[in-house]
Amino acid sequence: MAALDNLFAAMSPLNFLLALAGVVAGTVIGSLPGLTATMAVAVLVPITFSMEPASALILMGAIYTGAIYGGAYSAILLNTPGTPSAIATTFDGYPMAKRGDGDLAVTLACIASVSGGLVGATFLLLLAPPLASVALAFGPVEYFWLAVFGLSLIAALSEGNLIKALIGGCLGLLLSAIGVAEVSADIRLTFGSQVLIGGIETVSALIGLYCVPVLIDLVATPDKHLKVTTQSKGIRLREALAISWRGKFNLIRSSVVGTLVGILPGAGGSIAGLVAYSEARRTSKNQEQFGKGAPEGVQATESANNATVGGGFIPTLVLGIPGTPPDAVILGALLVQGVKVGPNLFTSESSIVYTFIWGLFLATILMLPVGLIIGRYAYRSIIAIPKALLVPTVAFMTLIGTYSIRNSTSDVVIMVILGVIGWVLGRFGFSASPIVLGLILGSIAEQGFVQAWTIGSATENIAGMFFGRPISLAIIAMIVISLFGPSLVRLIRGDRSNQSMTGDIGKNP
Amino acid sequence: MTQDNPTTGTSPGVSSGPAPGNAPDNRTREISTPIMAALFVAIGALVIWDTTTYTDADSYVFPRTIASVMIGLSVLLAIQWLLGWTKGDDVETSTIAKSIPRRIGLVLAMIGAALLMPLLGFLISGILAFTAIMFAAMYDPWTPYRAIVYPIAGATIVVGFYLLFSRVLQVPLPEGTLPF
Repeated sequence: MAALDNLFAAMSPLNFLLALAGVVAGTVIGSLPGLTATMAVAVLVPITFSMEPASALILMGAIYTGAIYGGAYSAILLNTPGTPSAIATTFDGYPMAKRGDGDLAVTLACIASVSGGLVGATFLLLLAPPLASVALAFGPVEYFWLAVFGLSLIAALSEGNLIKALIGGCLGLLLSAIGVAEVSADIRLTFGSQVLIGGIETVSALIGLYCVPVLIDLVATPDKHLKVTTQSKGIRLREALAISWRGKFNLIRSSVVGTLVGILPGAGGSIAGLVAYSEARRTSKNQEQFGKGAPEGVQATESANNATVGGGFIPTLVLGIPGTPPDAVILGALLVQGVKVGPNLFTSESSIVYTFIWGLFLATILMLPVGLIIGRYAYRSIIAIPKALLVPTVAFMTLIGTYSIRNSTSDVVIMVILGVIGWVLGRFGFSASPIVLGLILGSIAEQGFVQAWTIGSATENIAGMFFGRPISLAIIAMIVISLFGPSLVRLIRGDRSNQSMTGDIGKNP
Repeated sequence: MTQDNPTTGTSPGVSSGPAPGNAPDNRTREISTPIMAALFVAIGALVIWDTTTYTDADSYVFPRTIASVMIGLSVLLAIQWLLGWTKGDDVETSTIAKSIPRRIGLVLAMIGAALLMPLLGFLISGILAFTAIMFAAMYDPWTPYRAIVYPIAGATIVVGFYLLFSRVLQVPLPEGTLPF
């Protein structure tokens, strides 16, 4: 079997070293806010030009998978997703860290990432060609509904007032519309400002909305950043493994969700993490714990976002359509190498493909020791650094990270201002997450919406376009369940215990 | 997601929002909700007004739809408040005990650094911001040990990241226009 022959090629000392170096570099870069997985791969691509194609792919795959995992550190320890894929990791990871379980959360994230990565790579190994055809079945309407499905997570996240959360989501969608329009070229919502023409850069907005409020509250009190338990418990691997074993179905489901979302071109780790998080919450027995430090939340997101690595390579290698943004960079690097991607790649250049897939397995497995060691170090340094150094260091990292995304000082100013707005809104019960969801999903939602609208108008069947396609209907059903499911469950429970009719709307006792 | 106050939203007896007083009637106690609702209606109206200048239907259909939904939701929020259903929402309460000057200092230092970058260069504005924020976040007394170690650590961090980004990652950080 061709696949097995190449297992040994992948295990050569050189490839082993490349996988190790890639995972370490990726993890470190991914953990810095502002440096995304895409940038990690892009920055290190020139190194691969002189290599064999398979080795080059292994190095890039290792950097990519490491960077996706590295984003979890700052998400858990600083409430700032190091990469957009780790947005949903902040929901439960940071509350865990605040109550003194940061070490556990980091270890859980590592185990989940490795599991997700392995599931994604298995799909890539066994099912790449048939799965690639799934991507082709997704039209603009399906992308629109997928984005709406991501937005429906707002309901799951709104601990207080659902209406406030929905308003926040709308605000995020409007923020995403600022600048040159997605479909036509109108300049929108800039109100004459030159600074806003380029639009609001998603990653810098993310840093501002999540990180700046934490900093603002950190400087306001002399309290410690994270609660520290008196005794160091190491990496709490045994505990984390036990939790992971209990959550094995969650891990598998989230990994499959991540792989499938990764296959869809343009929908990357952030959407995969959000969808998996929403599903984990919906099916969990203790839904109330989500958003307050539920380990399942961290597991779901981290396994899903690492599964997108393997999933994203499926359309990249089979169809030549990048599944995720870093795949686009890798695709470019492959073209430089002279590798022709496409349906024939798996037969004509099978040695390259299978050596790479085994290399991806290797890199994912290496992520376990690497991740645990770096994670332990990251956690220790975050709790050991005195506040007077931690706050300026994180603030400085947000400045340099935001600047380096587009080499723009305007982005830095926008980042800080959005952070202040996020902090003020947070005080009035409008949390940052719905705004961020709107901002991230806005362009996908709008593109899908406008294209579907145009096609629907042209065929004089707008309703049929939006509501008449089978995949759309399946996604719509999932949206309805995730939006109204939690409220219905609470309402039924509330009726049973004879509580007030306001249910989830007001938290009256 | 509330950032740092796990107790909010669970104690309906506590005054929520900036309005002083502890009157038993919900409507006189918490006035932030209708103000926020009005603010979002205004933002929605502003967006709809802006969309009238676009030439292409593709450009305005999405923001106009979203802005209309946001206005509708804001009206709903105001109705909720009138009916007294917003009592006990996640509104942070303990403002007074925390330092407002330090917060303002942090924000000003960050914005200042961004504005000074083109003039002073990234390194100098970064060091200035780091120093200012360090003072804003300093609650312990300045012992001789701290007075020596903290600035050295700070300089190492700033210069280290500067070199990492500008030399290793090849990010063209602003050099500054001053002749030094």
